[in-house]
Amino acid sequence: MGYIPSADTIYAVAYLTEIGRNYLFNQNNNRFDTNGDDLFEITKFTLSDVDTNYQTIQLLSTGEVPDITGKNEDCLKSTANYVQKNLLAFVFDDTPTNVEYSTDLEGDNLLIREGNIPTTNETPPAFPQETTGPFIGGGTFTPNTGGAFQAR
Amino acid sequence: MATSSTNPNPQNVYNYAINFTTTNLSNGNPFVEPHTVTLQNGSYNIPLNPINIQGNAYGPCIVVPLSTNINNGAPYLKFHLPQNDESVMYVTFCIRHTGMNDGYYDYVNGIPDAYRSALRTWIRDDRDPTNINSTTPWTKTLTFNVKGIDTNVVSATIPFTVTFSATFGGVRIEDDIAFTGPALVTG
Repeated sequence: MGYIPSADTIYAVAYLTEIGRNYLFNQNNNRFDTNGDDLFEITKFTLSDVDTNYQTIQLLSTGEVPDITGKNEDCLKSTANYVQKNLLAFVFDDTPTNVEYSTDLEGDNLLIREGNIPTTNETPPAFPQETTGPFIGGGTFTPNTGGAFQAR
Repeated sequence: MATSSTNPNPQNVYNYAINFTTTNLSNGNPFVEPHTVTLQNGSYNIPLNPINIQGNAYGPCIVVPLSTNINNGAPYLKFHLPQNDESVMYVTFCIRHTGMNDGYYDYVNGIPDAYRSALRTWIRDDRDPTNINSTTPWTKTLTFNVKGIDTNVVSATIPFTVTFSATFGGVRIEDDIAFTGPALVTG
Protein backbone atom coordinates (compact mmCIF):
# COMPACT_ATOMS: atom_id res chain seq x y z
CA MET A 1 0.00 0.00 0.00
CA GLY A 2 1.66 3.20 -1.09
CA TYR A 3 1.05 6.69 0.17
CA ILE A 4 -2.38 7.94 -0.80
CA PRO A 5 -2.17 11.71 -1.10
CA SER A 6 -5.90 12.21 -0.76
CA ALA A 7 -8.97 10.08 -0.25
CA ASP A 8 -12.38 10.48 1.27
CA THR A 9 -12.63 6.99 2.60
CA ILE A 10 -9.95 4.48 3.47
CA TYR A 11 -10.82 0.86 4.07
CA ALA A 12 -8.59 -1.50 5.96
CA VAL A 13 -9.00 -5.22 5.47
CA ALA A 14 -7.65 -7.56 8.13
CA TYR A 15 -6.62 -11.08 7.20
CA LEU A 16 -6.49 -13.33 10.23
CA THR A 17 -3.68 -15.73 10.84
CA GLU A 18 -4.34 -19.31 11.92
CA ILE A 19 -4.26 -18.39 15.61
CA GLY A 20 -6.47 -15.36 14.95
CA ARG A 21 -9.11 -17.56 13.37
CA ASN A 22 -8.84 -19.94 16.32
CA TYR A 23 -9.56 -17.06 18.70
CA LEU A 24 -12.45 -15.75 16.59
CA PHE A 25 -14.29 -19.07 16.70
CA ASN A 26 -13.01 -19.88 20.20
CA GLN A 27 -11.64 -23.17 19.02
CA ASN A 28 -10.24 -25.26 21.88
CA ASN A 29 -11.88 -22.76 24.24
CA ASN A 30 -8.71 -20.70 24.24
CA ARG A 31 -10.07 -17.26 23.40
CA PHE A 32 -10.01 -15.96 27.01
CA ASP A 33 -7.00 -16.18 29.31
CA THR A 34 -7.10 -17.03 33.02
CA ASN A 35 -7.86 -13.39 33.90
CA GLY A 36 -10.87 -13.37 31.61
CA ASP A 37 -9.19 -11.06 29.12
CA ASP A 38 -10.24 -11.51 25.50
CA LEU A 39 -7.21 -12.58 23.50
CA PHE A 40 -9.01 -11.73 20.26
CA GLU A 41 -8.42 -8.06 20.90
CA ILE A 42 -6.41 -5.75 18.74
CA THR A 43 -3.91 -4.16 21.08
CA LYS A 44 -1.38 -2.84 18.61
CA PHE A 45 -0.87 -2.39 14.91
CA THR A 46 1.97 -1.44 12.62
CA LEU A 47 2.29 0.77 9.64
CA SER A 48 4.72 -0.15 6.93
CA ASP A 49 4.99 -0.45 3.23
CA VAL A 50 4.10 -4.15 3.34
CA ASP A 51 3.15 -4.69 -0.24
CA THR A 52 6.36 -3.47 -1.79
CA ASN A 53 9.50 -5.51 -2.22
CA TYR A 54 12.38 -3.13 -2.55
CA GLN A 55 14.61 -5.92 -3.76
CA THR A 56 12.85 -6.28 -7.08
CA ILE A 57 11.07 -4.21 -9.60
CA GLN A 58 8.28 -6.76 -9.65
CA LEU A 59 5.07 -5.82 -7.87
CA LEU A 60 2.79 -8.05 -5.80
CA SER A 61 -0.35 -9.22 -7.45
CA THR A 62 -3.54 -7.63 -6.25
CA GLY A 63 -4.81 -9.27 -3.01
CA GLU A 64 -1.48 -10.69 -1.90
CA VAL A 65 -0.46 -9.84 1.67
CA PRO A 66 2.78 -11.00 3.27
CA ASP A 67 2.97 -12.05 6.90
CA ILE A 68 5.28 -10.37 9.38
CA THR A 69 8.28 -12.54 8.53
CA GLY A 70 7.81 -12.45 4.79
CA LYS A 71 7.29 -16.20 4.83
CA ASN A 72 4.25 -18.00 3.57
CA GLU A 73 3.69 -20.49 6.37
CA ASP A 74 0.31 -20.62 8.12
CA CYS A 75 -0.90 -17.49 6.36
CA LEU A 76 -3.98 -16.96 4.32
CA LYS A 77 -2.10 -14.95 1.77
CA SER A 78 1.64 -14.37 1.69
CA THR A 79 4.71 -13.87 -0.37
CA ALA A 80 8.35 -14.75 0.09
CA ASN A 81 11.63 -12.91 -0.26
CA TYR A 82 10.32 -9.89 1.50
CA VAL A 83 11.95 -7.78 4.19
CA GLN A 84 9.96 -5.46 6.43
CA LYS A 85 11.30 -1.96 6.52
CA ASN A 86 10.52 1.04 8.66
CA LEU A 87 8.16 -0.79 10.97
CA LEU A 88 6.18 1.46 13.31
CA ALA A 89 4.30 -0.17 16.14
CA PHE A 90 1.29 1.65 17.56
CA VAL A 91 -0.18 0.46 20.86
CA PHE A 92 -3.81 1.09 21.70
CA ASP A 93 -4.35 2.90 24.98
CA ASP A 94 -5.74 0.29 27.38
CA THR A 95 -6.88 2.77 29.99
CA PRO A 96 -10.47 1.81 30.72
CA THR A 97 -13.21 4.34 30.23
CA ASN A 98 -16.03 2.42 31.90
CA VAL A 99 -15.00 2.57 35.54
CA GLU A 100 -16.33 2.79 39.03
CA TYR A 101 -14.56 4.60 41.84
CA SER A 102 -15.05 3.49 45.42
CA THR A 103 -13.78 3.91 48.98
CA ASP A 104 -13.17 1.33 51.69
CA LEU A 105 -15.71 3.07 53.93
CA GLU A 106 -19.06 1.59 54.81
CA GLY A 107 -21.59 3.74 53.06
CA ASP A 108 -18.72 5.90 51.81
CA ASN A 109 -18.73 7.63 55.19
CA LEU A 110 -15.96 7.85 57.78
CA LEU A 111 -17.38 8.39 61.27
CA ILE A 112 -14.99 9.94 63.77
CA ARG A 113 -16.34 9.99 67.32
CA GLU A 114 -14.69 12.67 69.42
CA GLY A 115 -15.04 10.46 72.47
CA ASN A 116 -12.95 7.73 70.83
CA ILE A 117 -9.97 10.00 70.19
CA PRO A 118 -7.40 9.35 72.95
CA THR A 119 -6.13 12.14 75.16
CA THR A 120 -2.50 13.14 75.01
CA ASN A 121 -0.26 15.35 77.10
CA GLU A 122 2.42 15.58 74.43
CA THR A 123 4.15 18.89 74.09
CA PRO A 124 4.70 20.32 70.62
CA PRO A 125 8.06 21.92 69.83
CA ALA A 126 8.47 25.47 71.06
CA PHE A 127 7.00 28.08 68.78
CA PRO A 128 9.56 30.26 66.99
CA GLN A 129 10.37 33.43 68.88
CA GLU A 130 9.07 36.54 67.20
CA THR A 131 11.90 38.93 66.38
CA THR A 132 11.79 42.70 66.33
CA GLY A 133 13.89 42.77 63.26
CA PRO A 134 16.57 45.30 62.34
CA PHE A 135 15.76 48.93 61.88
CA ILE A 136 16.20 49.94 58.34
CA GLY A 137 17.79 53.34 58.23
CA GLY A 138 18.59 55.52 61.24
CA GLY A 139 16.98 58.62 62.58
CA THR A 140 14.81 59.90 65.35
CA PHE A 141 11.14 59.81 65.84
CA THR A 142 9.34 62.09 68.19
CA PRO A 143 5.95 60.70 69.13
CA ASN A 144 2.86 62.76 69.71
CA THR A 145 4.37 65.94 68.37
CA GLY A 146 3.22 65.63 64.83
CA GLY A 147 6.82 65.54 63.75
CA ALA A 148 7.93 63.54 60.76
CA PHE A 149 10.46 60.72 60.81
CA GLN A 150 13.81 62.22 60.06
CA ALA A 151 16.70 60.23 58.72
CA ARG A 152 20.17 61.03 59.88
CA MET B 1 17.65 31.93 60.80
CA ALA B 2 15.37 29.52 62.66
CA THR B 3 15.14 25.99 61.29
CA SER B 4 11.82 24.26 60.79
CA SER B 5 10.75 20.79 61.79
CA THR B 6 8.94 18.14 59.78
CA ASN B 7 5.88 16.23 60.90
CA PRO B 8 6.10 12.44 60.76
CA ASN B 9 4.46 10.55 57.92
CA PRO B 10 0.70 10.89 58.60
CA GLN B 11 0.37 7.13 58.80
CA ASN B 12 2.73 7.24 61.80
CA VAL B 13 0.66 9.66 63.87
CA TYR B 14 -2.85 9.28 65.22
CA ASN B 15 -4.89 9.22 62.03
CA TYR B 16 -7.94 8.00 60.21
CA ALA B 17 -7.34 6.60 56.71
CA ILE B 18 -9.53 6.33 53.64
CA ASN B 19 -8.49 4.13 50.72
CA PHE B 20 -9.71 4.52 47.14
CA THR B 21 -10.00 1.98 44.32
CA THR B 22 -10.97 1.93 40.66
CA THR B 23 -12.81 -0.97 39.06
CA ASN B 24 -12.78 -1.59 35.32
CA LEU B 25 -16.45 -2.33 34.71
CA SER B 26 -15.65 -3.92 31.34
CA ASN B 27 -14.11 -6.92 33.02
CA GLY B 28 -14.68 -6.37 36.73
CA ASN B 29 -10.97 -6.19 37.47
CA PRO B 30 -9.35 -3.54 39.64
CA PHE B 31 -7.42 -0.89 37.76
CA VAL B 32 -4.46 0.42 39.70
CA GLU B 33 -4.10 4.18 39.48
CA PRO B 34 -3.61 7.19 41.76
CA HIS B 35 -6.62 9.20 42.90
CA THR B 36 -7.38 12.85 43.44
CA VAL B 37 -9.62 14.28 46.15
CA THR B 38 -11.34 17.64 46.46
CA LEU B 39 -13.31 19.16 49.34
CA GLN B 40 -16.81 20.36 48.60
CA ASN B 41 -18.28 23.54 49.98
CA GLY B 42 -21.04 23.06 52.49
CA SER B 43 -23.53 25.01 54.56
CA TYR B 44 -22.48 25.33 58.19
CA ASN B 45 -23.25 27.76 61.00
CA ILE B 46 -19.50 28.04 61.57
CA PRO B 47 -17.93 28.30 58.07
CA LEU B 48 -15.28 25.75 57.21
CA ASN B 49 -12.73 28.26 55.85
CA PRO B 50 -10.52 25.51 54.46
CA ILE B 51 -6.93 26.37 53.57
CA ASN B 52 -4.82 24.53 51.00
CA ILE B 53 -1.29 24.19 52.31
CA GLN B 54 1.90 23.16 50.62
CA GLY B 55 5.20 22.34 52.14
CA ASN B 56 4.09 19.11 53.73
CA ALA B 57 6.74 16.50 53.09
CA TYR B 58 4.09 13.90 52.27
CA GLY B 59 1.95 15.82 49.82
CA PRO B 60 -0.68 18.55 49.61
CA CYS B 61 -3.06 19.04 52.52
CA ILE B 62 -6.18 20.94 53.44
CA VAL B 63 -6.52 22.35 56.95
CA VAL B 64 -9.79 23.44 58.52
CA PRO B 65 -9.71 25.76 61.55
CA LEU B 66 -11.66 24.73 64.64
CA SER B 67 -11.86 28.31 65.90
CA THR B 68 -11.34 31.90 64.83
CA ASN B 69 -7.82 31.81 66.29
CA ILE B 70 -5.17 31.57 63.57
CA ASN B 71 -2.09 32.10 65.71
CA ASN B 72 0.42 29.54 66.91
CA GLY B 73 -1.36 26.94 69.00
CA ALA B 74 -4.72 27.34 67.25
CA PRO B 75 -6.46 23.98 66.63
CA TYR B 76 -7.06 22.66 63.13
CA LEU B 77 -8.12 19.52 61.32
CA LYS B 78 -5.72 18.36 58.62
CA PHE B 79 -6.71 16.30 55.59
CA HIS B 80 -3.71 14.75 53.86
CA LEU B 81 -4.74 14.37 50.22
CA PRO B 82 -3.42 11.46 48.11
CA GLN B 83 0.00 12.38 46.81
CA ASN B 84 1.90 11.23 43.72
CA ASP B 85 0.83 7.66 42.98
CA GLU B 86 -1.15 7.06 46.14
CA SER B 87 -4.79 6.23 46.68
CA VAL B 88 -5.14 6.98 50.38
CA MET B 89 -6.19 10.04 52.35
CA TYR B 90 -5.44 10.65 56.02
CA VAL B 91 -7.19 12.76 58.67
CA THR B 92 -4.99 14.08 61.48
CA PHE B 93 -5.36 16.61 64.28
CA CYS B 94 -2.99 19.55 64.40
CA ILE B 95 -2.30 23.04 65.69
CA ARG B 96 -0.95 26.09 63.95
CA HIS B 97 2.83 26.01 64.32
CA THR B 98 5.05 28.28 62.26
CA GLY B 99 8.04 26.19 63.28
CA MET B 100 6.85 23.24 61.15
CA ASN B 101 7.59 22.89 57.45
CA ASP B 102 3.95 23.04 56.46
CA GLY B 103 2.96 25.46 59.24
CA TYR B 104 1.08 22.95 61.39
CA TYR B 105 2.05 20.41 64.06
CA ASP B 106 0.35 17.01 63.88
CA TYR B 107 -0.47 15.48 67.25
CA VAL B 108 1.12 12.04 67.41
CA ASN B 109 -0.78 10.21 70.14
CA GLY B 110 -4.17 11.88 70.39
CA ILE B 111 -5.49 15.30 71.34
CA PRO B 112 -5.10 17.40 74.50
CA ASP B 113 -8.06 18.59 76.53
CA ALA B 114 -8.05 22.11 75.13
CA TYR B 115 -8.09 20.75 71.58
CA ARG B 116 -10.91 18.38 72.46
CA SER B 117 -12.96 21.29 73.78
CA ALA B 118 -12.41 23.22 70.55
CA LEU B 119 -13.29 20.18 68.46
CA ARG B 120 -16.53 19.68 70.38
CA THR B 121 -17.44 23.34 69.90
CA TRP B 122 -16.72 23.04 66.18
CA ILE B 123 -18.85 19.92 65.92
CA ARG B 124 -21.69 21.55 67.82
CA ASP B 125 -21.66 24.28 65.17
CA ASP B 126 -23.58 26.82 67.27
CA ARG B 127 -26.48 24.44 67.73
CA ASP B 128 -28.18 23.77 71.08
CA PRO B 129 -29.56 20.39 72.12
CA THR B 130 -33.31 20.40 72.21
CA ASN B 131 -33.42 18.52 75.49
CA ILE B 132 -30.66 19.27 77.98
CA ASN B 133 -31.78 16.28 80.04
CA SER B 134 -30.93 13.75 77.35
CA THR B 135 -27.65 13.03 75.69
CA THR B 136 -27.57 14.45 72.23
CA PRO B 137 -25.05 13.41 69.62
CA TRP B 138 -24.25 16.18 67.23
CA THR B 139 -22.47 15.60 63.98
CA LYS B 140 -20.67 17.76 61.46
CA THR B 141 -20.06 16.25 58.04
CA LEU B 142 -17.54 17.24 55.43
CA THR B 143 -18.07 16.06 51.86
CA PHE B 144 -15.27 15.23 49.45
CA ASN B 145 -15.15 14.02 45.82
CA VAL B 146 -12.75 11.41 44.46
CA LYS B 147 -11.84 10.16 40.98
CA GLY B 148 -8.96 8.33 39.35
CA ILE B 149 -6.20 10.40 37.81
CA ASP B 150 -5.30 8.13 34.88
CA THR B 151 -8.83 7.12 33.93
CA ASN B 152 -10.18 10.61 34.75
CA VAL B 153 -13.81 9.69 34.12
CA VAL B 154 -15.46 12.79 35.54
CA SER B 155 -18.95 11.33 35.29
CA ALA B 156 -17.85 8.48 37.57
CA THR B 157 -16.63 10.82 40.33
CA ILE B 158 -18.14 9.83 43.67
CA PRO B 159 -18.66 11.75 46.89
CA PHE B 160 -17.61 10.44 50.28
CA THR B 161 -18.04 12.00 53.69
CA VAL B 162 -16.14 12.42 56.93
CA THR B 163 -18.51 12.83 59.86
CA PHE B 164 -17.35 14.11 63.23
CA SER B 165 -19.61 13.17 66.15
CA ALA B 166 -19.73 14.34 69.77
CA THR B 167 -22.27 13.88 72.56
CA PHE B 168 -23.64 16.83 74.50
CA GLY B 169 -26.05 17.40 77.38
CA GLY B 170 -27.66 14.80 79.58
CA VAL B 171 -27.38 13.80 83.24
CA ARG B 172 -25.41 10.71 84.09
CA ILE B 173 -26.73 8.50 86.91
CA GLU B 174 -24.01 7.14 89.20
CA ASP B 175 -24.95 3.74 90.62
CA ASP B 176 -21.84 2.80 92.53
CA ILE B 177 -21.57 5.58 95.10
CA ALA B 178 -20.63 4.39 98.59
CA PHE B 179 -22.93 5.96 101.17
CA THR B 180 -20.86 7.21 104.06
CA GLY B 181 -23.41 9.24 106.02
CA PRO B 182 -25.45 8.16 109.06
CA ALA B 183 -27.56 5.07 108.72
CA LEU B 184 -31.06 5.60 107.45
CA VAL B 185 -33.69 5.67 110.17
CA THR B 186 -36.62 3.44 109.40
CA GLY B 187 -39.75 2.71 111.20
